[in-house]
Amino acid sequence: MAATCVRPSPLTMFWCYCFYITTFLTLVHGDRVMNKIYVDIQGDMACFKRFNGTHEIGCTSGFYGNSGVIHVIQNQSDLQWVYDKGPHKPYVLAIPPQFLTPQVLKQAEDSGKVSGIVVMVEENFNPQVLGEFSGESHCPNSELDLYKASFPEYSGYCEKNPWNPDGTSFLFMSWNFPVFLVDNQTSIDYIKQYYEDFNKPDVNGEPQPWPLLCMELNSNMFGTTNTEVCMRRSNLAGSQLHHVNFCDPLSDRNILAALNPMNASVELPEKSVTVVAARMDATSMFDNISPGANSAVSGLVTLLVAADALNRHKDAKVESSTKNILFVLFQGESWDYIGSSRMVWDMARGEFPFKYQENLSDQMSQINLTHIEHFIELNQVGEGMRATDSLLFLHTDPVSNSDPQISSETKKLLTLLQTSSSVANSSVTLEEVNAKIPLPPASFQSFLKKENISGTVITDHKEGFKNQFYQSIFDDYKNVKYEADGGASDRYHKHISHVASALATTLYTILTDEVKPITVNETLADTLLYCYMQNISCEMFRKFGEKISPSFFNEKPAKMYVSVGENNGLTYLTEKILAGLVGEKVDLDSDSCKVTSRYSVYQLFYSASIDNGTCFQSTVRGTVAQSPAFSIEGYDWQSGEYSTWTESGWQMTGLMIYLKPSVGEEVGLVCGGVVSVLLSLGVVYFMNSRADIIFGLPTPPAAC
Amino acid sequence: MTVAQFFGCGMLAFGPPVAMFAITIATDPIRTIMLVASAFFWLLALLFSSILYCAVVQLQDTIVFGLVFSVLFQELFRFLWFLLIQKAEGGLKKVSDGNVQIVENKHILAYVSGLGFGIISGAFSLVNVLADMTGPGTVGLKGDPANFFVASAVTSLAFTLLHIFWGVLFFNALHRRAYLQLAYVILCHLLASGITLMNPMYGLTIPTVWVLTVLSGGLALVVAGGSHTTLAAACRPRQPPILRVPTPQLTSQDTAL
Repeated sequence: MAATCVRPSPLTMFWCYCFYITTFLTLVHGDRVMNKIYVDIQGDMACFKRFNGTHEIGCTSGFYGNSGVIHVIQNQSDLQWVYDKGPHKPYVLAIPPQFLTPQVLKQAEDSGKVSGIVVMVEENFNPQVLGEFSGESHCPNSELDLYKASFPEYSGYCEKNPWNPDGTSFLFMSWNFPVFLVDNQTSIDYIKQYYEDFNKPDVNGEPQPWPLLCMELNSNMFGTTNTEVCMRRSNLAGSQLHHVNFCDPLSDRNILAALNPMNASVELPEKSVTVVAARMDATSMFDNISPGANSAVSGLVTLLVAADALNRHKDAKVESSTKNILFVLFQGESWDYIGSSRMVWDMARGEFPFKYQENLSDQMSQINLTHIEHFIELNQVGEGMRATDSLLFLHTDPVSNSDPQISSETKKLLTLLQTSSSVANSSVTLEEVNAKIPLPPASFQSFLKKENISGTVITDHKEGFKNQFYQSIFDDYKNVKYEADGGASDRYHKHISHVASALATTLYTILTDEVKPITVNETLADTLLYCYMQNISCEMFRKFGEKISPSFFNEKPAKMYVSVGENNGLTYLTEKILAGLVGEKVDLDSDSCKVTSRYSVYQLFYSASIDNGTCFQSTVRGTVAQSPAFSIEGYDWQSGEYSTWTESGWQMTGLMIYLKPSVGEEVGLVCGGVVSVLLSLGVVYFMNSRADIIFGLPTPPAAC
Repeated sequence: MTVAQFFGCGMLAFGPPVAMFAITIATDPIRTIMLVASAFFWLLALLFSSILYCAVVQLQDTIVFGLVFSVLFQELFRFLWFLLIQKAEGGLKKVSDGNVQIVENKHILAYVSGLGFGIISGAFSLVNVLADMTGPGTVGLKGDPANFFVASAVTSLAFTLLHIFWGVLFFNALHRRAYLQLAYVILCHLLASGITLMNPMYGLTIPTVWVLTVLSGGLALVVAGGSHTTLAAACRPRQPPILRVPTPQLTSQDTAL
């Protein structure tokens, strides 16, 4: 009641005042009674629903949220107490990350006594105590695997030698209760402290009496069943009512940058483009947290640093070369190769990077699959660091290399990479993986499905992933052993720089057939790593992202999840940073530094906060990264040809805790109220009818 | 599930005033109008209290200041309301359509006015609390007393009743120029409101407020012409109305017969 009277608006003042007049509350500046009842807990990291052509995965709460009595779980016996003894069902389990396993959740679901789960990750939590924690399956993206249908001799490889041995497939399970992640220490302390005060069973394990601490979890998901059903519903409802989003396709933008400008007026020779690719997305079970330090950031930053170095060493020989380098950052690769499959689809139908524009002289040339000479992919290079040097592995595809021409090209490329690494003096050892082993999950597979291309996937693992936390909340800077302290004692950014240096040196040789060590900017590597993995509101991101809403910038790791729609702040930022690195500064003011056509060879980008206003001219552009499944008329959702992932819509997610009174107390109160009404009716009726006697009034005249 | 608390507390606090309204007020349009008008005067008192509060910025943190002046404003507006209905008596007679009881028995109007004050002040003090009761939780998480809702409802009811009794006493005091009674009303209001500053010591404040309620109720009964004997009389079954047939005068002639 009566809002705080510290700085009252006239209206709150008014309420305040009423309050003083009858003065019920304590001497304090009473805030609303509601604030005395409910405590909001950090509730922005909910597990949400996603769908593919056949299944739904994730979690949802009921329409009005789920609630239950909180039980904080420290060990197995606490869980057993809830299932065997706990009399106050339903319960909301507050668990540490060790208990976030499919087994625990399955047991909770089967018990019928659990209405929600909160995972509490405390500040000082050490992920090394965890067992298998990767949310992905043993064979990530295996449904759209290159080898799945056509090459039975390779398709069984992963089942015997899982690429992701720590995989739990947790991400792909569906639960009938909400699950939230809480990592705000204040929120965790609230839960634990009030649990001690009200709910914790006594020393004999006897439950506490009412009132008990309860929690309400709100994360109602609009979509159900699968993508087909959900898209159909969206289309039906969308025609009558606006803004009904049962589900939306996972989509964003791929980013590409050509080292030398590609003008449509100059014909692009066959096999002249080397694609250097990395993916820029990662995922986790929860909303608002997907650090992807090794799975995405390691490759992404290596690519950015290499592109910057190569651009700075761009000499006349490079500019006059008939070869070219295309840097590509793929989005949505975590969800069955969304970005790469879209690019390949566009290339195959001759609409990449866009449909050819008649009568337009200044436009980027069309690229298709036959233009690609080599494909070099950086995929999880973060954990290749050894005591003094780095060890990475070069994976190749056994199928395409059965073609002798491709095979010789691949050999040449691998050798070049290895020699370049020593030329660049980068202390990176690049080891070839047995050529009989199929490729690990990689964007390159999408290309190989359509065309035999020579190429390699550079990773930090020879067999199973070194990344213990692939696609989970703990694939963060600690996972790759990054220490952000201005770069003094940190070895990780040096590792990334060395890989980038080896790569850039290779690319230089591919372009010019000459050997020249390319040095990279280690400070840039450190800055980028810090920004992506620890603090997206760093100075560099703020400068390049001055047009992004300020709410985007919090002091947290970047969220690498692909998400829906094409206005992802992080993708925009990455695109602009790449433009800043490979672009050249041109002398244009803010008014004239505007993109006139999205088809132009050069794109312009203006930032007012870099050197008091800078205009960058670059070949960097974005292309659509949405699965072709959503563009193909009458696509068969069960066919498994393209990614069909969609994300459910939802309103707001939230958590709050409160005390719930006993039923006895409530019944008593209602009875009291009823007695009060009946008693007063009786007394008033009596006194009114006998008013003449009680107050000695003259008898009212009898009715005539 | 604490919709139960909402209904429980709501009925507890508003049951009695609603019963009074339904049985004694709603049957008579004049009384209804007077009740609403008096409630409006209480609102005016609230408005002026708020203006004062806004004006005196440096004392906003001192609740006692606000409380005392708010009480004084309420009593002032009760007085102004009294003056108004004194003036309006002639008009009231005309519109009362032959039912002169409301004009002749001053206590009825005093009771109606008091109930108007009581209902509106009760509503203003409890409605916000009631609104927050509807959610699933109850007070007590942050160390606040668990019985806050019941205590609020009970205190609110006491103040509603107090306003009725003060109304009767206050008007009576003005009619009879009994200034001691007037002083009692004002002091009693100050005391009852002041004691609630001791909250959340409900063990002290609620009994005090209710003692004052019973005391004021007794006094109001007495000034309105009641006493324990009339109450006792009222409890007995009503005698059938005695038809008084004029007895014929005996003449000396008859006695002679």
